[in-house]
Amino acid sequence: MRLERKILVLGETFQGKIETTSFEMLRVAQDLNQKIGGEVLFLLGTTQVNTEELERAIHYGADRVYCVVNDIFGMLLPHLSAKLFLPPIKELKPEIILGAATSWGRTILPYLAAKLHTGLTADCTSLDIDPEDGRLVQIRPAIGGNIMATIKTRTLPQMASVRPNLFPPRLDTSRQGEIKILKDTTNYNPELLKSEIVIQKDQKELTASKVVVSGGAGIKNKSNLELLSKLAEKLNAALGASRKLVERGLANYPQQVGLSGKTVNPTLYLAVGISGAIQHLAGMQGSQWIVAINRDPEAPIFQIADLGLVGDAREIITSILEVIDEKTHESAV
Amino acid sequence: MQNLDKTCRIAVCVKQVPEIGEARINPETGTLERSGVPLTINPLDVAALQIARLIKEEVGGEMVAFSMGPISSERVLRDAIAWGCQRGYLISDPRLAASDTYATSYILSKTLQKFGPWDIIVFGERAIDGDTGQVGPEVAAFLNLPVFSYVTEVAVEKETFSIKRMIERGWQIIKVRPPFVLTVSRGKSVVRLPTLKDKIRAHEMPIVKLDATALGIATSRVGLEGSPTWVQKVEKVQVTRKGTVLRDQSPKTMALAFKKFLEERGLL
Repeated sequence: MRLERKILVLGETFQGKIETTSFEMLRVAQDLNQKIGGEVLFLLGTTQVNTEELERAIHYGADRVYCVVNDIFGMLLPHLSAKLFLPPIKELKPEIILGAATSWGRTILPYLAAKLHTGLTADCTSLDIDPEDGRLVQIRPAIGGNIMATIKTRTLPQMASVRPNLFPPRLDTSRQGEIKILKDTTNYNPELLKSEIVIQKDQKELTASKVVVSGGAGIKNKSNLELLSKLAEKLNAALGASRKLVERGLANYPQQVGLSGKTVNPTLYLAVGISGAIQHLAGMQGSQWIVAINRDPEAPIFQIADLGLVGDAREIITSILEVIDEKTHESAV
Repeated sequence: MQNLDKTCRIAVCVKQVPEIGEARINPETGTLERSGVPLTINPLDVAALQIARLIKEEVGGEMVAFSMGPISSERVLRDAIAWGCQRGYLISDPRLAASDTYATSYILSKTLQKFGPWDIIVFGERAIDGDTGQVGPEVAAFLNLPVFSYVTEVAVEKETFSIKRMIERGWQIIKVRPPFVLTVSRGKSVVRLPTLKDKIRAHEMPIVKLDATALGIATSRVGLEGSPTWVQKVEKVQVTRKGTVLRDQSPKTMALAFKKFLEERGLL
């Protein structure tokens, strides 16, 4: 008989705030917990205690919040954070550990898994509890998103990273929980000289936008890209990109949609000059409506588009900008 | 590392992968059909080799390639040599097959330890077949080294390294001294292709083969049995939507169709 079944969510913070993806993980943990009737724990690290912020974790699904305080957390360095998380994890002995598949999560989770001598499944899109053996069922896309693999773990804790933006957070401000502050003043960074964050402010956040306009290899130059940005602005959309556009230096990695970039599921996804490699589709096929513009009628993107426009992207976008302006003009009259 | 320009030792881990574009999925089983699929060096490992070579050219020292996989992986080690490595080690043993990321990282860390110590260990951020991106950070944990992931650029300033890595909100720039582990994402750096001379050198270089016994690895800890995770089943993904595709029409007609599409859904 198992007395305590604990699911631990590894919280991610940025400049003192808990990331939305961590609240998504709390929702996933709660869903799983309904099947095992245990507790949802939230472990995070901060440089300074912010009680209001910790209470938010409770409102989003944590039964207990453990907050480790150390200056190192301001540096966003997973291997150093891992050192501070290991003692509480070993003490709490969770059965399951979840974290978001972000650049931070995808680095700290494998680091922790090796230290805890246990398995880890990357980028899960679905999790469940097997009613027969009580184990965590981890489902993830594999082989470039062509197949879904169901993975299980023999060892404990069972660890998984979960793709962001698939499970909307669930807020309940009436929830009650416990907060525990764990101070750790050890200086863990002898080798570190400097860590500086450069925030790219000029972009609308991809995963939070209702409309995403993405460009791919078909956007051959800066002038086409400017046209696309103009359209994005008109549609109040975030500007995304395929891997090819990022590789060409026309877009930045934070804009990349796809298996090795971000998962988006906006109301409208407009794919311009994107052929639709399975790696890209894996990152956007959850969008409610998909419109594709591409010169090649055989492009795989048309198979998943609700509306496909075959033709020259530049000409079509120019026309779209015109007809949308017409509308603005009419309504202004 | 006391004297950077003499002793910088760089290890680069590379993997042979199927060319995903060419891979076929067996519709019955949903598994990857490996027979007849062309194999290649993992594309992000090429980015890793580029960064390693830039470091080596800047500070001097040596650059050694490691790979784990079937005997055919010898080819990617020759690629790595052509891209700038001086030697290649192949870890190949049927008893290691089907190792998951934990077991693979354990094997690689034992190997790196045997031939180490290293100042810098470089990985591609992820392999395009397994696509987990976990081996680099796990090896770092086994070796108790710092790990910097999603790296696109490394600059050397005296004895410190300035590492630029991608994060969701932009970039992070870290200044550190070795030793450390890097996992490299493709940046904007120009890929420098190997010369014919490089290729000839790579062709003639002996590749050292290693098995579990040579590495002192207990086979109970690796392979299918020794891996903490296992794949229970695989299913093929079906994605199709029944949409309208407009072709051979004027841009204006298409633009109007798009506008109507938005209006009908309350998006405009």
